Amino acid sequence: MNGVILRDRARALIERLGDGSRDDEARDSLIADLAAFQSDEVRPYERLTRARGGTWAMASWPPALPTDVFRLARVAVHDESEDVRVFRTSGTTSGARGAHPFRDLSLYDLAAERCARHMLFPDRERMRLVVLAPTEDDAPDSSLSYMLARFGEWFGTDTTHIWPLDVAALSDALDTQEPVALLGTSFAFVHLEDSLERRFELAPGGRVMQTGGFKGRSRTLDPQEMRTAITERFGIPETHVVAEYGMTELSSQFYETTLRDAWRGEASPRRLWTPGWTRVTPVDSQTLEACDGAGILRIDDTANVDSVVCLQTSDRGIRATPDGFQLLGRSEDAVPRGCSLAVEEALG
Amino acid sequence: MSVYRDSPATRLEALGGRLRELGPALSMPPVRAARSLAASLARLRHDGALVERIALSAGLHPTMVRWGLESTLETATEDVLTRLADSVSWGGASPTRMAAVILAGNVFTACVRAVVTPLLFGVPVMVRSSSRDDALVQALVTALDPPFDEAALVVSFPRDDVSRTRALLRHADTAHVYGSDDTIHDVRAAAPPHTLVVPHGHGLGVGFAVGAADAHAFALDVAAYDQRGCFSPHVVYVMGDAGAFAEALFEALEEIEIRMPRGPAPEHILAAQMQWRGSVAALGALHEVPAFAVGVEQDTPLSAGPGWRNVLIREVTDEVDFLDHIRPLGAHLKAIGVAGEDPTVVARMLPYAPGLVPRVCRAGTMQMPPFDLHAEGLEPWHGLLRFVETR
Repeated sequence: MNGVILRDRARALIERLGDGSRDDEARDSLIADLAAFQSDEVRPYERLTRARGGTWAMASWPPALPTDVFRLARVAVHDESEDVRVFRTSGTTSGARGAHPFRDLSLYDLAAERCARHMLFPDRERMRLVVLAPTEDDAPDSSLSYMLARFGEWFGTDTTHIWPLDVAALSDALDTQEPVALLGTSFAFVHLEDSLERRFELAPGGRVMQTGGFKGRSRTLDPQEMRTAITERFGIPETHVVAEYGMTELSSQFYETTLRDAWRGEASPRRLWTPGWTRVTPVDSQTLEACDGAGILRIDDTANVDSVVCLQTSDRGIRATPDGFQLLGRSEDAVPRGCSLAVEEALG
Repeated sequence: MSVYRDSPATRLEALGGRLRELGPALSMPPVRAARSLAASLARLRHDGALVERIALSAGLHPTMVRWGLESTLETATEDVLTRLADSVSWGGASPTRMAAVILAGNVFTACVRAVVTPLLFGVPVMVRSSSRDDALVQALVTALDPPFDEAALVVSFPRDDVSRTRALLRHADTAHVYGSDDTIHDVRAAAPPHTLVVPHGHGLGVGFAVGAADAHAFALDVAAYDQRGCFSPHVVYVMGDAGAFAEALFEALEEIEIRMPRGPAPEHILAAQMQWRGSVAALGALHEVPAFAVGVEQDTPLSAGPGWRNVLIREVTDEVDFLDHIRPLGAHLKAIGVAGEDPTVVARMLPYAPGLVPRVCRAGTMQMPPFDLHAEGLEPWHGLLRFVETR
């Protein structure tokens, strides 16, 4: 099966399931076909499949590539000369940055638009956006900046970027009767919390999307503390504080369900929505077998047509509903080197 | 009483003041001090209940704990302690009045040298240990005979408690600090001007092997303390066929796993292990079972594994190539295990790499350092004796 046919299948699946409907059989079949194709085309994945495929764990599923590999080797079905964009991770203690090359961003765009439309903007075609992150020009290799730039095109009436963070500029941008969507990194909100004296009352319909962990940062807040702080600082209901979980190695994103649930008048536990074209599975960290309780998240993202569909993260999570999961801790919480943390770089 | 958990800062300060006064009582001929301390240590060797307590708190299999205890305590005989005390030229030297020791939690036997050495030189010692990892140090201070029983205290409080760290250091002439760079930085910041801080920062070991014949010797080094020690080899550099070496090491680890199984690894280690092993499988060759893994990888910036018996093998062309690989480790390199070559050949190369002061030893003995080890290139009594120049 070639890449063009698979891309068309993935596009059709995302378009069909973008409204929240599900077809797990079609999804699983596409995952298997994509993995078979990629194991022929992506050298590290081919080696992993040869080493583990069908013999060690998850015999019925293709093996999942550890996300670390994106910072150690090129993970792409195509040649470097065909790259139209390379998104890079923000780095690790070793300093090496993961790279996710794309030769076509149309699937990424489609997935990002459908995820955000369904969970972050279900009630509005367009609204005013205030972005607390670098612009696409300032950070051309940031998938977040790229996505937020597209948000401006898809969902914005107008977009104000406030970066570096500037309290006066933020006050100007938020002093409006119009509902505003305030979008930024978790650490940007922590920084604001530390530097802002005043509180805001966003107009009804206002919302906050916060994303990312605290990798390499000196200060962290737990998720509930963070939500409470944002709720109080910006005068919005807690349902309208929506966390996004994404990573450079993926093409799809996961949003908390609370805003959509509130809009539909439903009350259900806060969780991250699993779009129908993705499969999120907590696995046992030793056997890599799917587990019922908490585990390390394996994420299969069919929008990853040109890299690898099956990824093994280090993040912990638990399935909450058939179409949702809860994140229990991001990988930066882990101390991976015991006695040797300080020397990770030197051994690279 | 010699163990104080969660005492307030004022109490710690008072205990430190009292310890300072005990110094003169420890003055005795070295041979007598050595005999008393060696006898106390010997009593710990056959304490089955202690093994179980340590296994539980350290997360190691009891057979591993027994091996760690045995191999550490057998280095601290009366003869060894006497020789160590006698090795100092006492002319112009006098013991300082009190030492503080801040322990890390990675290797449970680290407390033995840290507590016994000051006492041997007549210096009372107050040890800060995590309340979760203090089984051996508690047993050790409890086993001491007079006058040492009054001169060694164990205290526990949270690592980031600045006021109690200050109280611990208030009366200390010297502080031996085991732990991360952050811990050492915090202790330096909390130490009064009169306290000499001696850092024993985190680090790791590596192996150097000529050929595959001695791969089995490294298996014990990797397995000991489940590869959590600063001397544990995380990478073995091989002059020769790295693949053959990896296979031989894997087989040897299999044999050790039967005798001394790996302890239960915590969840964050398993997550890191899963990433590391998957990366090796994707980029090189991996031999793995749940309890251990040997990877061979050459050309990417793959870092060392997360410990817990996950080791990487890399090929080098010669000794100079090996030196180029380890040079960036600087002071973090704590040990080099050597197989198939005389360790002194490797030791003689080290002056060409500034900052490298590892212990160099034969493979198979990396986790069995001598009691009178020159850790970090310093004399065992560093900071414990005061030499006053009168010429």
